[in-house]
Amino acid sequence: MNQRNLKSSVSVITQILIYTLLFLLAASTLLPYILMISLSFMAEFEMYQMPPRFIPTIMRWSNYIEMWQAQPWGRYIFNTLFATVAVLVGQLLLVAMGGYALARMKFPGRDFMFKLFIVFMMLPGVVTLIPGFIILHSLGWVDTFMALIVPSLGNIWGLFLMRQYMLSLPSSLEDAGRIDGANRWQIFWKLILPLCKPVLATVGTFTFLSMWRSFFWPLIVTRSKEMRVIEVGVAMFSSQYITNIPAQLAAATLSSIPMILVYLFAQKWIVQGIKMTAGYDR
Amino acid sequence: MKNTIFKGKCSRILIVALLILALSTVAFGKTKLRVTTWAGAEETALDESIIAEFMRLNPDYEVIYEAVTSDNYYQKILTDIGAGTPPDVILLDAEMIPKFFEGNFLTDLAPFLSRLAREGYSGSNVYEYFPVLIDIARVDRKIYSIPKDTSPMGIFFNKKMFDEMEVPYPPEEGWTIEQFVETSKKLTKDLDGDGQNDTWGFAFPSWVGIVVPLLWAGGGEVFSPDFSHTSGYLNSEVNVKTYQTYLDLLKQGFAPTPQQASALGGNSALFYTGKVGMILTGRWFNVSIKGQIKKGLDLQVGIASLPFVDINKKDTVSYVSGWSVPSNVQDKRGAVMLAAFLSSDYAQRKRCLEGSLAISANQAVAHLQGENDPLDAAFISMLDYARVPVGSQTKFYRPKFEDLWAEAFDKINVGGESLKAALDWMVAEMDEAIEKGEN
Repeated sequence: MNQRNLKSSVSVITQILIYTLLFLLAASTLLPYILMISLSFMAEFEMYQMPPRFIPTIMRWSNYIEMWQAQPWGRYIFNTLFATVAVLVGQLLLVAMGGYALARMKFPGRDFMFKLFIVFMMLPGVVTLIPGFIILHSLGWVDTFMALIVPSLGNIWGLFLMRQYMLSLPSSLEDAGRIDGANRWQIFWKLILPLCKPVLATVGTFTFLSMWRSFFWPLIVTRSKEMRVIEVGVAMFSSQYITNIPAQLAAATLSSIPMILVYLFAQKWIVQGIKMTAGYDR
Repeated sequence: MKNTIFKGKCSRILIVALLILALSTVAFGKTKLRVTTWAGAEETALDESIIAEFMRLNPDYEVIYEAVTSDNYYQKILTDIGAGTPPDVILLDAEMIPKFFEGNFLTDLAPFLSRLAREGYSGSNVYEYFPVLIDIARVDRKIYSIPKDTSPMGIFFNKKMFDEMEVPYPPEEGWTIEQFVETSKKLTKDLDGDGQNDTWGFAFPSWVGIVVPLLWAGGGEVFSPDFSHTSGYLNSEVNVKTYQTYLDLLKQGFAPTPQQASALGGNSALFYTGKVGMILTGRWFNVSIKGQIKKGLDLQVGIASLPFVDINKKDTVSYVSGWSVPSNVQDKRGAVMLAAFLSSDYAQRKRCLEGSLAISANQAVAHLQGENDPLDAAFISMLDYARVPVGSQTKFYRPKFEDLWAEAFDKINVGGESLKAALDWMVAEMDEAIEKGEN
């Protein structure tokens, strides 16, 4: 009996320790974000007070007004949203079709092509920066939505994920479809694709997050303020010698809201995506 | 007969087509010019109004304004230049001119400017600018940049802190290194008696951009006059003596260590919060200070010169950026017109008097600026003796010299090496790089 009590006490203590540790880890992860929101309501000189304050003495909403008035945020939000949705739809369609072709269709050079894709995945983005820019310029796409959308439609990681997932589906499904008279497109569209919803959601979530956060490529391929995206707008509060930190933090807070919402709704797919990439959830 | 009718119809159609073409040329035939800068959100608004004025005065031109974040600025314009689509006008740091010049990326503006000046075009008369700022972008008789504005390096001091500690303000006419040392010592105090300093004399200058003018002010040089080597200059006795003075102050606790400063939010934060009495930096800091005071910061600021070894041998540097025209633009005259207008009297008033962003490069406008603001007046007076930045004269300054200095300072600050040993190491590395032409 005493031993059982002892075991139970040890178990409770272990649980408390685990939860405390998890709480501390969660708090340390969240702290910078909370601090960002808090500092976005302060003047710069208030940020450096000692001891540091987590809650502003005066809520300076004017930082948000100043931030909003300094740049055309409505336009930035529209641009980011439009490009993100267009890429999301286009990319899901392309990776699904590509994944299907690489997983289920037989054609000469298929495996070589897949390996080639994987090799391309290893290339650092900076290598293709100038050639990519020259192509866009010759097409007359610089400073247009085409420049923001088209180069992002390919997603080798997504293609890889789709292929691996589709390989795990039983081939009897396709046989059944064929017996029922379905053609290749119908098999893909009506049988295979609905079964791929989890992986589509995973790829979609990551695509949304990466498009929403993309900074360097939009910076290079856009010129006018009318074509800028949110992340570039956030960076614009920093000039060579001076950074308007409160306005920049206010803009960063604003830009993070859609990402948090996506995370709240799609955390299952994000976790699944990480598991799939790690290769043990198939 | 039919043939005549057909011919008549054809000629009418041709005339109409030509008319439409001519009208469309009138309507859409504006020459497009693109200007790229690193302006932040606030400066962008001023730049846009300057460009609107340019387009009003020059209706044949349409200007596309492109503001790029400063961290990615050069990568962006080099991508543009590399892809054969350069902006017509670019903003360049003086330190970038040698590199762009060597790459043959820049147009010599001198012949265009002299022609435009004869036509009375605003901003094209080089004599309107401070001579030192034109010299920065001059190679022989060629001029590669029109100065936008400038920021000399000096010292901001916290008047309130000086008053509370009954320390006399630095003399307006300039001061010596000994006076600076004395002042720093008087401003350093342990206010709560816990054995730790609560205030310090100054924020320690470790950034190469302030170290070089400090060494000049101490009577030294960092490069040989022909920029072929650094040995005997950078590691000279006089330089070691000058910078050792500041290092000694740091060791004795009269300035927070770089680690302490970083933990307390950086040098600006130390100054805002009254932890340090003086900060050695450029005029650009005034923009931040004014912004903070507007938001309620209780701070009164004065300006002093850098400390000199000899009050009669004053020295500092004035950092400058200017408008340049890439060599492969199509409409060079139009591009130079725009570049000149961006530095014109109108632009200088807008940016420096209205926006108070920097010291005007135009002497007349700077004079007005000095009348309106005593802090700016102090900086403007420094332009009488300010020198051109080293980086505007040799390509080996950026990034080689800058990077090696950062490494040398780490050797002193973290590795505990002596200043002399660190400078000897830097000189060896630097001279080898110059000899090999590596940067």
